[in-house]
Amino acid sequence: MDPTEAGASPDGTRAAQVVALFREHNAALVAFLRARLNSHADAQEVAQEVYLKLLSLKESTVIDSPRAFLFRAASNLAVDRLRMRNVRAAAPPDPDDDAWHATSMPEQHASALEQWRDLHLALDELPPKTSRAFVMHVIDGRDFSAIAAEMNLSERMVRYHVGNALAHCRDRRDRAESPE
Amino acid sequence: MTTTLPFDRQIEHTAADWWVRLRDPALPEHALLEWSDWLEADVRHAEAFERASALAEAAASMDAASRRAFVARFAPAGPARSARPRRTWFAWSAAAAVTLMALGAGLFLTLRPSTTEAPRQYASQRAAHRDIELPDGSSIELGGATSVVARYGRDERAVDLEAGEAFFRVAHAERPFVVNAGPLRIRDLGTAFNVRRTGDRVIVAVTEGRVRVSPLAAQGDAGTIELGAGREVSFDPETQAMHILDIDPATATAWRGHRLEFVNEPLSSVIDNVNRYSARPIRLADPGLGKLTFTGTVEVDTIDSWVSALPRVFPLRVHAYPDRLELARQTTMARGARPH
Repeated sequence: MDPTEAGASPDGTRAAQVVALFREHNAALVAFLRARLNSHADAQEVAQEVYLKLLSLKESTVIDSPRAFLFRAASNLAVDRLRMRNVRAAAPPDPDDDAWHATSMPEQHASALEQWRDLHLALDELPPKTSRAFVMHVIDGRDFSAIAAEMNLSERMVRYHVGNALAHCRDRRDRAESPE
Repeated sequence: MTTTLPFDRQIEHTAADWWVRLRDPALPEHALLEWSDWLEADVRHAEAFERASALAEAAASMDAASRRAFVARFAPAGPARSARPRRTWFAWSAAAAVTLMALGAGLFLTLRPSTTEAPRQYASQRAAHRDIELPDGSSIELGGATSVVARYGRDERAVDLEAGEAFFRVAHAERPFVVNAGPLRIRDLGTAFNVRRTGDRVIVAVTEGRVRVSPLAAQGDAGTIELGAGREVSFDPETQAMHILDIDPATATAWRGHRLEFVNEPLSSVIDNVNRYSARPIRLADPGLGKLTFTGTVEVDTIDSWVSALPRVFPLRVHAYPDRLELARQTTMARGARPH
């Protein structure tokens, strides 16, 4: 089905269903994709792809739980997006590229440290395993299974540490923003 | 728009837990629906989730140099951390043994007849550390392949750091204690500090007390910087500029535990420092590679494996010869996929 046509006649049809889903669950859809992709911009793009995909479904396709369907479609498209990112990341860096060079590094580094100072301090307050799991997953982008293998922990424990670190860093930031 | 209500820590914690669970690609569908129920049940839930996501996203999008610094600080490569304390203990007892041997070798130099005022030279061998007790009660711990000359005069206690790295613990006295490190002059104000000199690149890190650092080229007090504990100043010979950073004092003196830590140093300088410990000297076949910047930890007893891992982070190849390790530029075609 043509999405423009859907936009033109939004009642009783697949298009109407999609519009309703969008109204009701768009915030959750984008929030879900943002967590999966760790990028708000990518999440918004992929959310658009999800709606286009739903609109292009045949009218005869039966969707028993629209919300579950929405997340399933989003989950699949998120996997595609992550795969695409990995392909880009695997491109070889060029040593002549400025980014590899020491151009104005000291200033850059000083301001970078300054910028991340709060995060650094917050992580310093945590047990080593907790900060390590957080840095490996959130900052270095390693997945839970790789971290579990390296730290000799279950994936469940790795998630537990990452969650604690994230909550602690949030908490620190709140206290920094609203001093008593 | 920000809310003026006090943050509910329980909600913030639940939001962080959900964020982590959502990161798992294998999260069952029922859990996902449970999460969306939670998210949509209360606007505070959605806001807390948004804040958790924003923090994680900001941390994930930091520049490569900061990311390397964080990884080096909190998640250095190597065996599981649980094995760490014991390894460190072994490293320290090994260090003690090496130091004893070095002291034996060093007696030579120090047994020369010495009045308080005659200059005394102290040097350590490659891969060896050496502790030096000075007559005034100050002490210097030398890293590998490091040499210093102590010249105690009537007006000041001067030590020239000729090459390498040393940790100074200064006994308080009326005569100032001064370290000359190539282009920099470091004046102690009752303190402990580390100096690493790689040619004219000098890094001074203060672990206790205060020091005053001045560029030799400057007239009078111009360009003088006073540094407190937990601060580091680095002198870049290319720009002749001094840059101050906040540091973890333990990191600056990590070499004392047989680890060398680098933050954003040119690979050429890193190699020079690693060569103070390496059994086989490391050479750069292509000087252009020396400009790559490195942040991370080098364990001095596993230098070879550090070198062999370099091609995973830099576009270079390692050629091992019986008498040296050579780093050459890697062509685009020869480069494999990144490890992660």
